[in-house]
This record gives sequence, C-alpha cells and structure tokens, in this order.
Amino acid sequence: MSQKQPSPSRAEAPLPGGALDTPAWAFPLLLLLAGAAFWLVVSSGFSLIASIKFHSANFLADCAELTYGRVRAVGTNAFLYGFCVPAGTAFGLWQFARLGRSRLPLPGLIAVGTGFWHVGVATGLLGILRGDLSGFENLEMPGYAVPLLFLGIVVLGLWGCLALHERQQTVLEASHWYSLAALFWFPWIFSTASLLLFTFPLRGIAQSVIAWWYSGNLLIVWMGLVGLGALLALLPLATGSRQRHLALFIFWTLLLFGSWVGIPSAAPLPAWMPVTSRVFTVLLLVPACAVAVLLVGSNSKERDLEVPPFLRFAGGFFVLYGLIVSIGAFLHLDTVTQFTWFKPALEMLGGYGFFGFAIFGAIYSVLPKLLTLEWPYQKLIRAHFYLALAGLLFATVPWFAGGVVQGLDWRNPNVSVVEVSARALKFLRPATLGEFLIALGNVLFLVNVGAALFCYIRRAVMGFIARTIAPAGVGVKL
Amino acid sequence: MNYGPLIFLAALFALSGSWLGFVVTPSFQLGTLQQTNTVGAGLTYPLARPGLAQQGLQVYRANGCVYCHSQMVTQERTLCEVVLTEAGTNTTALVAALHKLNPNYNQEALDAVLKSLPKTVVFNTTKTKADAAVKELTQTTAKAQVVITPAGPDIARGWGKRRSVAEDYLYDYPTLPGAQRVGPDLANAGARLPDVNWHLRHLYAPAAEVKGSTMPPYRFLFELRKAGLTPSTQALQLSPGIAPSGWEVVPRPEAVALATYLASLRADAPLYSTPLSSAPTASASADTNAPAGGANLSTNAPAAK
Ligand code: HEC
Repeated sequence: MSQKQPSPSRAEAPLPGGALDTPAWAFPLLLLLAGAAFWLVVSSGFSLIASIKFHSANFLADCAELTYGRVRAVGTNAFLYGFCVPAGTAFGLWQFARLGRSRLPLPGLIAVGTGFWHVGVATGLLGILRGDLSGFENLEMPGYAVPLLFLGIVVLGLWGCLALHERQQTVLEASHWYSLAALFWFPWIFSTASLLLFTFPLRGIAQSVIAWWYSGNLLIVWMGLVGLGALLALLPLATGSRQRHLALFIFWTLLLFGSWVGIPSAAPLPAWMPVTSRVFTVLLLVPACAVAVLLVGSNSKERDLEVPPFLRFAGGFFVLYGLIVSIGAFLHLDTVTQFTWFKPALEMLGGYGFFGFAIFGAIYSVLPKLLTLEWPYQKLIRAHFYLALAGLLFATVPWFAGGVVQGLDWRNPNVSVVEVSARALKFLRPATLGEFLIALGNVLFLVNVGAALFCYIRRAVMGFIARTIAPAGVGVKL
Repeated sequence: MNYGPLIFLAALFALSGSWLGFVVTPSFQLGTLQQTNTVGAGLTYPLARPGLAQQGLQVYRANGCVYCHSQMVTQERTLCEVVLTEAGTNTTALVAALHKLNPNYNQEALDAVLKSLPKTVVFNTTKTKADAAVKELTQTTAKAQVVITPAGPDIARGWGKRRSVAEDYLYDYPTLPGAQRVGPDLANAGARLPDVNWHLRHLYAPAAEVKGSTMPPYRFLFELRKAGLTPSTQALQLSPGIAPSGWEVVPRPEAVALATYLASLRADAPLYSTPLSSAPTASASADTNAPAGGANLSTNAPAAK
C-alpha cells in the first residue's frame, strides 16, 4: 500500500531547526517499535526451531538451552512480551499524543520506559533459555524479569496519561477508549498474576487458575482492545452515533465477557469455575457478531481507498476467532479439541491473524505520518502481507484439522500413543512451512522498520550538521 | 456526548468482576485448601513429595515438559455397580432378590454367581438405584456394596483411575496441569511406570525404550564417561548401540531427580470429591472368568437372551 504524502496538519508547529518537523516523542516511540520488530523476528525464529524439532527429535537436542520446552517458551514470550505489548502500547501512545500539541512534556519518559521494557524482555528470554521459565503458560518470564517489565510498562503508561491530559480535543473517539482501557488493563493483570505467582505464590492449583485468568485476559481482552482500537482508528468505518454506540457495545461486552474466559473445562477445580468460564466463552459470540456488523457497515464509498489489507483481514480474523471459540464452547467441542493442536491454531489465529495483522496495518499506515518519511521499501510491505497470510493459512488450517484428528484419536483407547503422535505429524509438516513463511514475512517487517529508523537517524544527524556546521545558505543535501 | 466516566466505570466494573471471581475467590477457596483423608483407608492426602522429587519437579519445569505432557486426567462419567460379596444364610431370599434386580438371571447364572463371590450383580446403574439394590440384598443377610468407577477416554487409556482434583496439586509449585498432549498424560506416570531406571533410560533415548517415540531425547541430563574395566554402578543399562561404544552413560543429579519425580507421580487416591471405590477383588469386572451365561448378568444387555 502506498502512503499518501504525510499530512502537514499532524505536526503543526515546526520544531526549531526546520528540517525536523517531527515531534520530540516520535523518536523514542520509534525505538519502542523497532525493539518490538526485533523481538518479533526472534520469536518467529525460535518458534520455527521448535516446529522443526517435531520432524526430527534429535535436532539441536544436545544443548540444554535449545531443548524443545525452552525454545517454544522463548517463541511465545518473545511474541507476547517482545512484540505484542510494546507494539500495542506504542500504538496507544501515538493515539493519545496526536490528540494534543506536537510538543508534549517529558518525551524522555518513553525512552526510559522503552529501555526498561526491552531490557526486561531480554533478561526474561535469556532466563528462559537458562531454564528459569516459570512453568505458567503465557507468563513464562522468570520472576526476576518481572520488575523491569512492570516498571517499563508503568512509565510508558504514565506518559500516555500525561499525553491524554495535555490533549486539545476534549471528546475521545471510540478508539481512544479502547487504547485507554488497554493501557490500564495490562499492568493490572500483569501485576496481579506476578504477585500471586511469583512474589507471594498461592498454594496448589489456585496458581493455575491465576495463570488461566491472566492468559484469557491478555489474549482476549487486552489484545481485543488494542487490535479493535487500531481497526476503529484506521479503517474507513462509517461514523455516526449508531457506530459509536456499536463501538461502545463491543467495548463493554468484550470486557465483561472476555475477562472470564480461559479456564479449561476439564480443569481440576470446583465445578463452578469451568462452567462460568464456558458460559462467558459462549457469550463472546456477542462482541464477535457486533464486530462483524461494524465491519460490514464500513463506508462502501471509501472502500476503494487504499486501506492497508492487513487491517481488512484483521477484523475478519477477529470475527472468525470469536465464532470458533464461542460455538466450540456451546457445542462442547472442547471435549475433543482440548489438549490438541487446535489450541496453538486458535492462539495463532487470534494472536497473529487478528492482533498481529491489526498492529502491522497500524504501524505501516501510522509510522510514515509520524516520521514524515516514506517507507524505505514499499514493495516489501506487500510481500510481508502475502507471506503472513499464506503462512497463517499453512500453519492454522493443518493445526485445526490435525487437532480434530488428534482429539478423536485421544478419545479412542485403541489408538496407541505412538500412533496418535505419528498421525499428528502429517499435519505438522505444512504447519512448519507456514511458520517458515511467517518468519520470512517478519524479517521483511524488521527490514522496513530498521531502514526507517536508519533514515530517520540519518536525517536527524544531517539536520544537526546543517544547522551547526554549515550555516544557512550553504547547501547540504538531505 | 462525554462517555468518559461511564466508560471508566464500566471497565472497572468488568475487570473487578472477573478479578473477584477468578482471582480473589480461588485464592480463598483453593489457596487455603488443606490436606484431606482418603475414603476408606482414611490416610492423609496428599503428602508432600520427598525432597529429591521436588527437585525433579523443578527440572521438569525448567525443560518445559509441560508443553507436551498434561498432568490432568479427565473423566466424563461415573459407572455404578453393585457387587455381592457374601451370600449370607438366607439363600432363597437372596435368589429372589437377585431375580427381582435382574429378571434375566436363570438358575444356571445364579448358581454361577453364588459360587464365585464377590461378583458384580448390577451393572451400569445410578447411585440411588445401586443403594436401593444394596439395601434389598443386605435384608436377605447377604453382604453387598456399591462400586463406583469413573470412566472416560483418559481412564480407558489407563492414564488414571479417576479425574484429577484440586487436592492432587496441593504441594506443587509451580502447578503444571498442562494444556497440550503431544505425549501421554503423566498424572499417574509413577503408578504406571514405577521404575526410576526405566525413566532414566527413556529420558536418555526415548525411541530406544518406546518404538516409534517422537519424544525428544534429554541427553544433556547425562554425562558420558569412558568405560572402565568394570562398569560404574550408576551407569545406565542401555541396550547395545545406544551409547557410543567405549563410553558409559551416567545420569547427572538433575536426571536422577527428574526420574524420581516421574516415579512419584500418582494421583489415584479415592477422595470424597471424586467418588471412587476400589473393587473388592479382581473378579468384580466379571467378564474374564465369567461362566457361559456371563453376559446375561448385565441388566442392560438386551441382546443376551
Ligand atoms: C515434543 C514433545 C515432548 C516433550 C517436550 C517431552 N515429551 Fe515425554 N513423551 C512424548 C511422547 C510423544 C511420548 C510417547 C512415546 C514415548 O513413550 O516415548 C512421551 C512419553 C513420555 C513418558 C512415558 C509415559 C508413558 O506413560 O508411557 C514419560 C515418563 C515422559 N514422556 C516424560 C517426559 C519428561 C520428563 C519430559 C521433559 C524432560 C518430556 N517427557 C518431554 C513427547 C514429549
């Protein structure tokens, strides 16, 4: 998708220096995003290694650091904490910042938060490789990385509140509520989970309840808020009070129902917990359908406009995810699909298909405006999209199918364990190819973000030289 | 329109709702769970794992075994049966009672029942009906009891005798119920495979112990030592060709701890929260040594005439 020339209105008051007409908060925000793009590539690399291990159990088997469990945990955690959280937070901060003046106070806070966060991620991932993974799914980060991460997100959130406080426009759009709620939701669930799992660990299976609650809130509520916020902000949706009410309705039902999802029905708990969780999972149908209505109602006239294809698909994947989850829970299909490849398929559909696509689309369309530069490699954006889409299909479709086959096999005691795993392997072949394509697409994303960072820094340095060394009149080509 | 405060309140309400439900309540309801007693024997359950097994749990966590192995047995039904354990003195009344319970009984089948006690006389019924049957049978001075057997695909696979319950995880940190099964459930791995040495050999080379196994080997938990004239006592007894020739494989302390942990895994104690009674003796399952008319004993076997 090609970017239209950056609208000058976005960075109204040119900053002193003239050449640099980007706000001071743009650069630290870019660093936050560049770090996210880096961890995204790390994550897909490790996930790919984990996937290859299924085809050859001996692959990298002699090195404790690269054993399946650790590699896989690095893959998911680099994705969640390395990519999703900083990229989603960066999008939220951008939304608040652009409501205000171009000169917002304390842009250094973003840099500090970014530093803490990314150092925290590096510490955590190295810790996982060393064998310090916590054992709680989707929160494998070792306890000692948590304070860094928490500090990072709190500092970033503080700046977000500052930016919001300094805003010039008093009425918030739907997408701002989403981003604001996400900004609070994450620190809240993250601190609750780490306090009760690491600092003052609960006794027995209550730990798992906390971990399930946290995962559900992160993967459904937080990701839903950020991803849908991006869609609302950037898709050419019809605007009007009906849409506004619909957006509010989605917001509320997502929070109200999504925050209870995630306790497996077979969990060794008092029956009310999995039952409650199932009921709320079924109810996810409501926000999923509402999103479908919202998307279908998008302005047809503006449809022809250049809408990043990533954003279009992201909405569809959200609806699909919601339908599969809620209908599956209603029909009790989880008695077959639990414990199978169905689960990673769903997580990839939600995490990469919905959230990832939404964030890619947002970054691709927002960053040029923010930095007032074109993407260095326009063609790679398209290539990234097709690789990501193909990779997603190749990975999730076999996993979904394989999950159903595996689930039926597990239910049949006459099929031996070795047979079950041999049969599942057939489905994992194309899935590994899918993960390879995704990894390749992510590399293209990193190349573009890295090149944009390079261009930005070069322009800043040249501008600086132009102002100090070569005074006005002496031509320095930028 | 300024929805601000409304939205803020709504979000707060939603979040604190699920927080109260799934964080605060479980902290009190489950976080304060205590040991309980097993049904029947009245033993304290669970007992904390011995120190070495606890270290093994950490090795299990550190290497992410949980991504391929659950420790959570599921159960879909409970089957109720009535087992006659003693015939008592009043045989005629007993025969009449049995006949009433199961009109399919012919003389031959009844004789067979009375000869090989204990014997299951009512299959696949509900708890209330089973209790009523026991009452009727005991009135004839005979002795009978209700046997409750959990059932479901996991149990049919032999992964456990009953579903997992909260008590099973009381002393574990972290708790590792798992979400995916690439390999079998391990909640009762120790009950199935009590041999620590089997676990060590399996961890070193899974495919050598289980043909076609896709489990990755954990060779880094072992040490290769030049084989001396007499094999070291700790060395694994591997089949030829598994270890490089001239070398012997000695488990590191982590491997021993992990294998000890695996052998300690067992969650099959009968508890009040999971009705499960151990059958009086092996013959309760009827069909293996049943006489010709054995099939007739089943109350719901319409095919049998
Ligand atoms: C990549 C997936 C995978 C990982 C990781 C894995 N396993 Fe396995 N495991 C399997 C498969 C598949 C089987 C079935 C074949 C076999 O018995 O070797 C199995 C079987 C087992 C068995 C035998 C259970 C039985 O009832 O027969 C034990 C015990 C076991 N694994 C322990 C472990 C431990 C301990 C770890 C971590 C150090 C581990 N596994 C990691 C896949 C895995």
